[in-house]
Order: sequence, then structure tokens, then C-alpha cells
Amino acid sequence: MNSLGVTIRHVTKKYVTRRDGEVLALNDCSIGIHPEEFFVLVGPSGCGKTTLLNIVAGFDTLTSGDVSLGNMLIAAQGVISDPGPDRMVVFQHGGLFPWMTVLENVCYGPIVQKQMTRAEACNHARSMLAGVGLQGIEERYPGEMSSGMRRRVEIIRALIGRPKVLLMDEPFRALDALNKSVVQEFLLRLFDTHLNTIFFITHDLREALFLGDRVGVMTTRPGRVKTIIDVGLPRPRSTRMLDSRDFLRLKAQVTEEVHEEALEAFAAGEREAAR
Amino acid sequence: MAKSLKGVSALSSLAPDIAREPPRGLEGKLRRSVRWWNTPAGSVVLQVSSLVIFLVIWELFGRLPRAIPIPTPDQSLQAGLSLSPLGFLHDCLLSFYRVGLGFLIGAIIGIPLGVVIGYSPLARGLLFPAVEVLRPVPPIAWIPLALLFFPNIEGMIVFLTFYGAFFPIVYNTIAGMSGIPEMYIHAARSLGSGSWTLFWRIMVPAMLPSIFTGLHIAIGIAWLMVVAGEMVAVTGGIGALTWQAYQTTHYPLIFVGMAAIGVLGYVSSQIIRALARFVIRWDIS
Repeated sequence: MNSLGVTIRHVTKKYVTRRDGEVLALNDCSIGIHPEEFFVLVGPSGCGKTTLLNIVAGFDTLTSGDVSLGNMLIAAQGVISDPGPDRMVVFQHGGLFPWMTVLENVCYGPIVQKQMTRAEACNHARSMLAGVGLQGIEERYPGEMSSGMRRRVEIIRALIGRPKVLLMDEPFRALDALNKSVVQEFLLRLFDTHLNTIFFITHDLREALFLGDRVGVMTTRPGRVKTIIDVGLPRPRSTRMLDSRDFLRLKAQVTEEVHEEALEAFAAGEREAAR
Repeated sequence: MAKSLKGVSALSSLAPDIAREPPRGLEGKLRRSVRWWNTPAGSVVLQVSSLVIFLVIWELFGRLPRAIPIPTPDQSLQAGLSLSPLGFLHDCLLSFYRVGLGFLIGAIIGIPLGVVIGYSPLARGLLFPAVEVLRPVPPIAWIPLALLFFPNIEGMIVFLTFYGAFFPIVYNTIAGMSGIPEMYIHAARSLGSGSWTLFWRIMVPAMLPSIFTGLHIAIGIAWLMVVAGEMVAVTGGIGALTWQAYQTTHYPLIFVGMAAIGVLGYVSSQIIRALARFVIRWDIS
């Protein structure tokens, strides 16, 4: 058993900007993510969900509260643990290194961590890519592939080091509808087979319900978790489910529940799109 | 950051960018019907006529009634052919060597300096103002001081080419370093990079496109400086050849010198380009 849960307790984050002075980004935010759970946090743009993920990843500090991975304290006041392969991140804008080929990208982690020799890492990466139908692209650079393909490779790069938790920061946001559903199914299949703990962030309620075991709904800034919804839809899931009556009913019900926040999320999304 | 980028763009507008492909023009995109000048043969005809027109205008200038007429294309060609090939080659290589040496020193000092300033706020505070104070002084304004300071001419000329190359390299390296998206650093640290691999396998490749932009601008300015330096010093080199042609009233030779400077500048810029293509293999744009 490799995966661990993440416990976020009363996390508050304040930071100071030149324009707005002191900003309260997160206010007393608590989430308990179980081992091998797919947890999705949904909230409007700018509600602090990326800040929260960055704190878990070790990219940012918190003002008060604490975060543990399994039994290990990874963030608290005065406790900063460096980012590391136990908490891999898949980024919003695509974090593959453009100067490395697909194979070099996927091998990079195991090699720099000295887990494997270069040859072992390459073999492992090749078989892992082939296992998910991504063979034949090993020597390509990210710039030579579609954005959907890049996201899939990035997910494999994150999983090859067997992270305790996979952190995903709106990874499918920039994808068009078709690519998005392909990559979502890809992620669901990986989750079904690997059962990694996943902490996934999105502003898209439909995506949240489609992917997650549980969905936390965040308020606008200062962000805190307003409700947690048990999705309860059976796995394995497929895109066909998106049109099923059960799914639509659940979505309508949740939309009602989080009406206010959903509206704000929608408005924020619109503003973003208009920009 | 914004400041340094502004400096970069101001410099790049100075750079002679002769190797760029001519723009295809808006009309070509708007019209569907193929005109004769859009065919391959037609475009060759056009390009040849462009050169012919250039030569005709030059010839006409040469025929303007003046006390000393401007040498015509034909006279310039004759002058070029009458030169001793070995001496000419020697001048070309000498200038090339001076540019190369100054450029190399500029890169060896400029790239690490840019890396440090771009990385550390401490270094930026300490070093950048000094660089900024010197930058607005056009490199040519350094000639008198360089003449005073360097006992030998060679040192002076190489200093001038170094100085011209230095700023675009520093500025573009700073822009490259400080412009690395934070995400790559985060990704690399999550993947477990130590600081050595973080620098060599993440930061360096991420900076390379910017650094090469700097090198490309720098080689153009280095040529500018070598010509200026050689015209003042008149101890060999293609700039000196051009200047001496004027002083000794071998006017047709002026054009030979100018053409040689153009060709050499073009060749060096192509060398940098080829090097960039070789090193930055992933950049398919």
C-alpha cells in the first residue's frame, strides 16, 4: 500500500500584496482526504484553491494550521518540507520540460532521485508509456504533440515515481472539449488501476462530479470549504455517464446546494473567458 | 524585469537582422488567384530585377557630375579583382579574429554575470545599477578612452568589440533567467532535483533561447565596433582597408571594403544561427 491520505487542518493563509495590502487567501480551511481517494476541490477562480494545493505541494507556506501526509507533518507554522516526489504535481499550464523528449521527461525523476540507473529508468518509462497506449512518441518533444497528449505524458511522469498523493491543479483547463474528455477518461482508467490518492482542483462542477469520490466546494475568497459531497457514482466511470439520469440529477441537486457559490464560480469563469 | 526587457527590445531594434526571410506580404494571403510574380520562376525574375535596379541606381550615382565622382559598380569590381588575394584574406581574417575574440570574452563574462543578476536579488542590487549606468553610453563613445588606456592597438580593438557584445548578452541572459516560468522550477523540485541538476538540466536549457537572442544581437554590434575601431587605429583589418582606401584616394576600394564587411557580418550571424539550431533542438517554431 503506497498511497497516503492528506489531512488539512484549519489552514489559514495571509499574504501581503503591494496593491491590496494584506490579503486573506484561505480562512480556516479543513479537509481530510482518505488514502486511495479521488478528492476534488471545486471553487471559483481566485478562491485560494491553488494556494492550498501549493501549500500541500511544498511550494508555499501557511500562516496557521497544519497539513499532514499520512502521519507525517508536512506543513505548519515554522515547518516547511521541501517539495518532493511523494507529492507530485500536474500543472495547470502543462509542466513538461519543453527541452526534453517525452522519454527524458518521464525518466527524469527516477534518475535524479537516483532510484534507478538511466537504462532502468528508460525501460520502466517505455513500458509504462506503452501500458497506457502512449508508445511511439518517446523521442518527440512536447512542442511536437497535442496538448491532450502532453497532459497524458505529464500524468505518467508524475506517477512513475509512485507518489503518495497526486496533486492536480486544474490540469485540463486549457484543453478543448474533445481532448478534455479523452484525458479525463485516461485519468479515470489510471485511477481504477493504480488507486493513487488524488487531490484534484477545478472550477468545473461537472468535471468534479465526474471524476471525484468526494467533492469539496470552496467559497470565494477568503476560501474555506463550505460543503463536502459524496458523489457515490459507481466506478469504472465513462463519459457516457455524463448524460445519464443519475449524473444529471446529482449535478442538479449539487448545483442547488451550492447555488450561490456555483453562480459566483460561473460568473468568475465568464469573466476569465471574456479576458 | 520589465525594465530589462525594455532594454533588450531597444537593443534588438539596433541589430542588423539580415538573415530573415522576406515577408510574403498580405496580398498573397488575401488573393486566391495566382499572379505571375507568385510563381517560383516569377519570383526569381523579380529578385534579379531588384538587384539590376540597385546596380543601375548605383551606376547613375556614379555618373552624377561631382568633383570626385562616386565609383561605379564596374570600377569597384575591377578594384576588388586587382587586390592581392592573400592580403585581402588576411585583413578579413584579422577582423574576424578581433570580432570573435571580443565576442567570446563578452560571452564568457556576460553570461555568468547575467545568470547571477537574473537569479539573485542581492546580486541584482549590487551589480545591476553599475551595468545600467554604463549602458546608455554608446560603445563608440569609448574609443578615445580605450585609445588612452590600451598601450597596444590590438587590445583597444578587442576591448571595443567585447564592450559592444557585452550588453546585449548580459541583458538577454538576465531576461532569460528571471523569465523562467516558476512552474518548471516547481516541477523539477517535486521530481527530486538537487541544485546541480536544477541548474544544468532545467535553468540552463530554459535560458538558452534568450541567451542566443543576446548572442545574435551581440555579434552584429561586435562587427559595428570592430569597423569603428579599425578605422580609428588603421592597423590592418577590413575597416582599416576601407578607411585607407578613402585616405589614399583609391575610392573604388571603399565599396570592396563595405561589401566584405557585409558578407563577413552575414556569415557570423549565420554561424550563431546554426549554433542555436544545433543547441536548441526542441524549439520547433
